[in-house]
Amino acid sequence: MRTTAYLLGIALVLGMSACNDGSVWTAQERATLQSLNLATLPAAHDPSNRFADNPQAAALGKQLFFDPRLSRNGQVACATCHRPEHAFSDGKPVAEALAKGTRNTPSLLGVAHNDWFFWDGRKDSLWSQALAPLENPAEHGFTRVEIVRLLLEDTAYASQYHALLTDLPTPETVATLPTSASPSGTLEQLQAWKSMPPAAREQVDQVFAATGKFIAAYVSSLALAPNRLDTAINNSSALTPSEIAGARLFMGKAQCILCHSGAMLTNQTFQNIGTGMLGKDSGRATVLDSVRNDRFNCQGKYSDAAPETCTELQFLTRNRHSVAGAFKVPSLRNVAQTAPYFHDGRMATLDAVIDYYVQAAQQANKDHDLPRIELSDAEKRDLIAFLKVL
Amino acid sequence: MLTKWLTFSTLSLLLAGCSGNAATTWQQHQVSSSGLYQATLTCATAPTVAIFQECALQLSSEQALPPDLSLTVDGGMPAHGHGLPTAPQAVPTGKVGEYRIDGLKYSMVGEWVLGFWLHSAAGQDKIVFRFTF
Repeated sequence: MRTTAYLLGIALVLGMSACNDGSVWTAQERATLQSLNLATLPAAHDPSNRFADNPQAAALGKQLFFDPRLSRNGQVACATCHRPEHAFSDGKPVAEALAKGTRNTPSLLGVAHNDWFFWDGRKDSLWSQALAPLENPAEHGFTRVEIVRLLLEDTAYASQYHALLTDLPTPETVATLPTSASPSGTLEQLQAWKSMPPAAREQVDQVFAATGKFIAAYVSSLALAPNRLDTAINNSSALTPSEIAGARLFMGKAQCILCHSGAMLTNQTFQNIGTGMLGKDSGRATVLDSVRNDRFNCQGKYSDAAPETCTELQFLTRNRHSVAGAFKVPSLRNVAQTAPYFHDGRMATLDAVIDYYVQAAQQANKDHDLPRIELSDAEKRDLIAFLKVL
Repeated sequence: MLTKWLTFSTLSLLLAGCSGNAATTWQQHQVSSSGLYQATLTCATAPTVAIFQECALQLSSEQALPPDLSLTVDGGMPAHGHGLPTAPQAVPTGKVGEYRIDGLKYSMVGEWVLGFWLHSAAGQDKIVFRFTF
């Protein structure tokens, strides 16, 4: 009798455990996994771009994104580095367009959910970010005046711009614009820009900003697909034992989740992991003034947002020392498809990334924010197996 | 803006004890380094990561508060060696000793310190809250 009761008791306990939806996760693990679930991600919203959810603008933005004519040599489009087959990254250590850049090309999937753009966060909106490569000598190498001329003199583009915008420069005004001019170009391009009447410069900037907003409308439509982690909460058989062990390391001993939290697997901040280069590339610290003074930022005249709603910019830290050597915490979604890693693509593989974190965290007199991490070789393998789930 | 105002109004009501939802708020009490000031930090929710917190600080003292008293906010994670991810501000609400804390965010779970420097012609003081979430 006592044996039967004992067995019944064991069966009851085991049954209750199994009733835990058949999951291998503890309640705490389930809560944490739920916080990473894509389904919890709110819809992206950018009040600084009135075209962000406009299908017509997104269709135009897609044409602009893939158009290599928007470049100095007619061969560089946004899609040159943001390649759809690489989750809209390029698989190279650093971007290569008109010249070799200094930063790794990030994936664009889900990027509309970001607070800051570029590895150092020097732009505070997707549309403002889209403008910078167009005039970067190492990327498209164009000027805003050349872009406006091309777009408004091209019949197909012009009709779409007229359908979406008012107060566009007349063809006569466009004909009077310099061939090449920009406030951020070469000395000659700057002189040409300054030779333009203020009203003409204003009109060019309006069209230029709108071009960024159209491109952003398209890029905003590049949504993330659910991954196996998103289904693993209610279906633990979706993961292998190694992946489950890796998930536990991610949430616990390896401390990845401290920064790679939330449904985007990033806390949207800038952290010093010891990859900055003193005097050469201090990351976030070097852009605190430029983002605040950017004429295309959230509080600028080309933004569609009320300035007081630009809270990220309003409460931007002014303490350079606190963010010296810090770079943006990237999303880990699709991380297996977006090698190489880190802001300058210095790590070719996930194995190298994990080795770096473990080794860097052991350093005495460390000059970074990393916590101490110790992982065995088997644990590293499990963690990498889990990262490939993402 | 309206949302922020409504949220803060709700928080003010909670501070005044006019609501039955006090269980959802999060409070910390602390005394300043000099012992002159008592402070209560009240937030609409317990600390969370990566979103702006809705908080207010209430100062009181056995003596009248200095009329030129102003506050600056600082903080960080001692174990990680980094500060707050944003630059929050303490904004006087117009009520004696009450400050709305705007722009406060936390970047990760763990042990945090949140400090308030008190500036006035009478001297400086500080209030430091320590908490883990």
